[in-house]
Amino acid sequence: MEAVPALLPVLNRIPNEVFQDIISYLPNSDIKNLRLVCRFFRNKVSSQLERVFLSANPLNIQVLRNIADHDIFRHGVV
Amino acid sequence: MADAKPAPKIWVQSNDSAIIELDRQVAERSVLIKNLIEDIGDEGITAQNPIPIPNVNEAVLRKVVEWCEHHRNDPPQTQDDDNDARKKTTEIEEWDQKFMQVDQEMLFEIILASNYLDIKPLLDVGCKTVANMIKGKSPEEIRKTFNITNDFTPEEEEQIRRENEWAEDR
Repeated sequence: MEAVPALLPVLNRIPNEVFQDIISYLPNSDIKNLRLVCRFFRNKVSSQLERVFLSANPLNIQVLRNIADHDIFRHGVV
Repeated sequence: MADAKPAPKIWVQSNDSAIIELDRQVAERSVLIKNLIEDIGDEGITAQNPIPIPNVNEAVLRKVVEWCEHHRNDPPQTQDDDNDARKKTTEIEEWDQKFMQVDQEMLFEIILASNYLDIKPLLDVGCKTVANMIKGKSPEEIRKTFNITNDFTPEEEEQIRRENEWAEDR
């Protein structure tokens, strides 16, 4: 992955719990923007979508379906 | 407090073989080193037999020692500090802000070293510094800040936008 040429070696050594620490200072709007930066950040912060609101309309049913089919998110359903 | 005796010393060795001498009180800002000294006693630690710090190079270790020197008299963190109240603010005291004005690689190296050496207040300052570099920025602005190229396919980007829509803004 050549997304972060200069910083990638050091970023790759940052443990996940430290990333979670950094993210804990950010509101969700910033976390969403961070996920859109590049693959590296998407992979690091994807588990941070902690709450989803669903109601009984067709779009929400589709959202529920997407979460159920998602490799990472479906493990987080409680 | 002024002490007639010279302060007890500790020696640490970076992964590129530099040996750094520092006061035991300064070294004990690192919980890892503090526990190590408690376990083995400080008689065994000499300039000839320093504590190896295998994950940290000299430049980074000197920077971390500089922080520990400045914060040598800070009260030790209590369990209470470790809850979510600490998380809410990204404010950083002025000296620490200046201290963190380093290139990005050094910033992340300091974060790594403080995590390894278990210096929680320094780790917090590092994490807050990075959070402040991300805060309020668009994805493109974040890319510019960290010199990152967008490596998503349009489909992937669309997928993330959809996933983001599910989550509330807080």
